[in-house]
This record gives sequence, structure tokens and C-alpha cells, in this order.
Amino acid sequence: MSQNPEAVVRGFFAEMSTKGCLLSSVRNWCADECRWENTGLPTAESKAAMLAMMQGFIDGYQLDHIAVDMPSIAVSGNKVLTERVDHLNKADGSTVVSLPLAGVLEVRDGKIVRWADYFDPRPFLPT
Amino acid sequence: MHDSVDKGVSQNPEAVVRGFFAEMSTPGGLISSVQNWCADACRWENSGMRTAEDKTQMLVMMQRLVDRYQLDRLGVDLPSIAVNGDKVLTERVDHLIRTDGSTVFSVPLTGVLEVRAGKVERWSDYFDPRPFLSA
Repeated sequence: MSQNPEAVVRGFFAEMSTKGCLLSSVRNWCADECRWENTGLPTAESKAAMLAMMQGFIDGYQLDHIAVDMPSIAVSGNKVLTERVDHLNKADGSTVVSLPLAGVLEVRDGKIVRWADYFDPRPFLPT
Repeated sequence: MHDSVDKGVSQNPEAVVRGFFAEMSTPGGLISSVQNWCADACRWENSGMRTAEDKTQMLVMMQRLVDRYQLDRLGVDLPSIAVNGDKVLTERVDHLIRTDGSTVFSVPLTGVLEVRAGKVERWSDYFDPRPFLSA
């Protein structure tokens, strides 16, 4: 696997877009101490917490994969800044919700150590 | 704010974005920062809010924010910035500050600015909009 930060981020999102690969994408591309921050939602403070949170999304939305459109990406050192539209898809290909967002991923030694996404969280919050 | 001396520098996308935020952080500089650094056709997009489709609409929207919060300036922390061509991606904390120096609230966000010919042509910020939507 490449150590290059942009290649790591692209690899991570490519695996996440693959059917049934949400948990494996976290296992394969994130460091044990990775932080996963989402505006308005609790932060996952480690890979174990990330996996539990991802499993919660899978169970809560019958989520199968996340198709990622990425209109913008720019790199500064070990930080990769992305503008994206994430499509949360079920196994039958239907979309639960599409989120326009921007996110920062930090990569060290070929692993993601911080994944911070900024977006309007209201689709995930109780009304 | 940017005179003819640094016009050469201000064509650079990162320098334009830094100049724009520097002016926005200056007391009373919110309206002039839009006037001086944004193209006439600039789009201003904010998560969960209406998009301003040109500079005229941006100025109306900025004036509305100024009036609603007695806003004087935006203190901008910029922990991350990265450039790809004419796009400048920023991770920021924007502090909405009143004339008396008090902070209305602080917004953690990530934003994309596109610069052409030394002017901001698109300013898209992604954040949790709930503080702006409450009464």
C-alpha cells in the first residue's frame, strides 16, 4: 500500500464505495488511534469506537456502502482536504441520503489518524 | 485594502484567500472584504442556508448577518489550508465577533474557495448550521 497521503485517502474512499466494505475500509486504512469527527455527532476516539459507530450506521440505515463524489481535493503535507458528496447507499443500490460536505483527513505512515467531516447533521438527528 | 503594490501577489489563489480572511478579521471589514476580494459573479454557499448567487446578494446577506448579530468582524483560525490549482480548501474556526469584542458564537467548518484572476468566484462553507437557524 502506498504511504502517499492522497493515495491513502483515495484508497479508503474507493473501498468504502465497494459493496459490503464499510467496516473493512475502516479496518484496513485507519490507525488504531484514529479520531472520527462529524459535526453535531459524537466523536469516535479510536478505531474500535469508529467500527462501533459504523456498525450503528449500517444497522440504523440498512447501509451497505458509501458512494463518494469528490469534486475537490487538495493536499498539504500529511493533510488531505476534500470537498465531497457522500451517497449513503443500501445493498439494493437505493440511496438513504446524499450529504454535501467537506472533510479533512490526516495520514501518518500510510494510515488515517484523523477523519473530520463538516456538514449539516440534521438528517441524522431526531426531529 | 490591497493597493497596486501587492496586486501581483494577490493574483495567487492562496494569497487572495488569506487577504480576504485578513480583511474580514479587521474591525468593520466585513462588507469591504466582500467588495474588495469577490468577483461580481461570486457564489456564496453555506450548509443549510440559502445560496447568494452573486456579489450583490452576498452583500445583502452579509449586511443581514451584521444587523442580526451586531456583527463587527469574523476572527478566523485556519488550522489547515491546501491548494489545488484555483481551489483553496480550508479548515477553519470562524468566530463571529461584535463591536465590543464579545463572541456571538464560533463555527468549526471546512470551506472551499475558488479564485480566478485574483478574485474569489465561489465561497462554499460546510458546517452545522443550527446556531444560525435558532431564533
